[in-house]
Amino acid sequence: MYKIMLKGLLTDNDLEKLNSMEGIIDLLCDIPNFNMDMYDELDEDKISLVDHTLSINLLTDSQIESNLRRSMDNNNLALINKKRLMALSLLYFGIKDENNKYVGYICPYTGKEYNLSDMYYELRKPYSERNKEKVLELEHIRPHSSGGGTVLFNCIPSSKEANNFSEKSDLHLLDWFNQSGSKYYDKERLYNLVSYILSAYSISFREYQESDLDYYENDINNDLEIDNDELENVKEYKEKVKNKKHISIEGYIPFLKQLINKLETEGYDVSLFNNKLVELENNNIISNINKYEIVQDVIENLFKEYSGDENTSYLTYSLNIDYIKLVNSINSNDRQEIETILRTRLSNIKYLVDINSKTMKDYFISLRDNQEVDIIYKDNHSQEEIQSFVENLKLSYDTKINIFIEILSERQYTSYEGGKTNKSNIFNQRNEIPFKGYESINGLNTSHFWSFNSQIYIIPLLFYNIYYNKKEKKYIDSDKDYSGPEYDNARKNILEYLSLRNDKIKSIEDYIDELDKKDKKTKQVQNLIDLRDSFRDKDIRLIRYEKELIEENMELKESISNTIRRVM
Amino acid sequence: MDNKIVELEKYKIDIQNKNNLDNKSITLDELSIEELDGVSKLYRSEIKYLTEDIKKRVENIERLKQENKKLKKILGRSE
Repeated sequence: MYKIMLKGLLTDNDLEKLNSMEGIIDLLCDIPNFNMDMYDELDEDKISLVDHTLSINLLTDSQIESNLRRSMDNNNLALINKKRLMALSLLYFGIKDENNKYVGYICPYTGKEYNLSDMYYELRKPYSERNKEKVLELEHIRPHSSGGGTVLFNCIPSSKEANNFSEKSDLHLLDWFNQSGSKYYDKERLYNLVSYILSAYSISFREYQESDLDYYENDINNDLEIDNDELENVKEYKEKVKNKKHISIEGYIPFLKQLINKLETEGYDVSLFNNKLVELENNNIISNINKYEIVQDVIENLFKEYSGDENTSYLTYSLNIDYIKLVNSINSNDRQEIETILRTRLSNIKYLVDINSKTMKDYFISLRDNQEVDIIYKDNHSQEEIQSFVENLKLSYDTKINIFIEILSERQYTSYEGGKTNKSNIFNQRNEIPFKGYESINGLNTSHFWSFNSQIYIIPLLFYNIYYNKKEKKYIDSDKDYSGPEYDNARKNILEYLSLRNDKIKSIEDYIDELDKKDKKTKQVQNLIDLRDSFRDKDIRLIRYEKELIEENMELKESISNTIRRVM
Repeated sequence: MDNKIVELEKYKIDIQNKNNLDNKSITLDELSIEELDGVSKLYRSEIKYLTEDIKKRVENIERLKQENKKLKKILGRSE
């Protein structure tokens, strides 16, 4: 795997160069003070170098455009200049050959190497025909779903594995590194990523100036070839961005601080990064860094404590905290006081979650969508606010399993009519029974739940106190104790259902034997279907060939009779 | 007589299941062991039928190839 060179923050002089294409050529090709008038006087090698650099394309215009639109639609920040993005990405993650030419690119997240000439040819093809292994995608460093905008300091070209909707999905970068068994983690790449982000901050803030918005509009007109309808959207977008100018970007700082802290634990001197943050604060670009740091540290520790697991999921949960709202809701800068306030709020949440038979995981997975009703952002709440908070909690998978088991123990949901499941029987996948306590929420029902989960979760949990762990691909012991009369009822109801379906089943062991037999039988029938399909294909091919031969036969006979007629 | 009717009913269900599997409106997981046994028999008999069909077709193809070869020879000689 290619090892990248550590690169710190760009100097003010270098940052200035990123404002023009000539400056970008100067930086990428190492041609000091390059301007287009010099072009004809350059030697052949240099001309070839400049031409090559100008032809580099890491992403298509439409890839950037579609992300900008998505961010605009979601009211996230949306402002990016493709040339700057390309230049900055190459400076930190580009690979040069011995002639100083950029020939490759390293994905900042996965370390996967990309060949720039392959990429050039792939990007000229229509999207559906591109080899996705050879092209990059635009990754939102702070996930789009958590409010991360399409803006230079939050975007970087990366491989498809790192992009949302794929392996990484909405996970926090450090949580993803951890969950993927560190196969993608590389401290040098992380170092360069932090340098990239902080350098991008310095560039991005210029983009909030009015003159730059015009520059951006021209840039879109010239480069993206958009039609009039889209121009209207650009105008609308400009209005939005003007409003966005007043929106604080402190929300991005906690995520960045997490990356910097990780580098510090790796033994890097991170003072230049911290100094840059202080500089941004001194320039009034961000404010209250100190308070943000304290709040972030406290909330992360509390999330870690309350999530009760040893892994790094708390980082992904914390991505969905609205830090600006949270910091503004605390009238203190003192660490001790902040900790007391947040601990009290979280213990209230824990209490409400417990008395409503939910778990803290349900709360954590609800963070993103429930910011309006989340009581973490307030000290005192009305009864309505508490009710709204509880009603809007989502259900984690574990909770759904436990609620389903609770329903299984009740006769009301496990009854029959004439030997068949009745309309409120939970085993019938066509019956849509609401999860208990969520009767008011449309679509949150148990249909198909038994058929999808009985073999790997419900039966193993209730009868053997184990469950299937998809990540580890094996059955592991459950922490919860399923002994007691209500669970006995659930077991009895399951056995009743199974024996009604098949009178040979008298115990759960019979059922498991039956499953094994069925598994074998299913495989057998599948083999027969595959064999039948291949015979059908063969038969079709033979029919075609036979038809050709018959036609040939008729033509030959026709020719022979014509010849005979001619001779006669 | 009753047994025959039951058998015919079962056969009808097996055919229905096989059709549903072939047009992918159900999956194998949805069938019980007895139903799997039923469709298994039908697939076996379809495979047997296809095997015989293929065998006959291969013989006919071979015959046509020989005949066309001869006809080409005749045509070649006469021209």
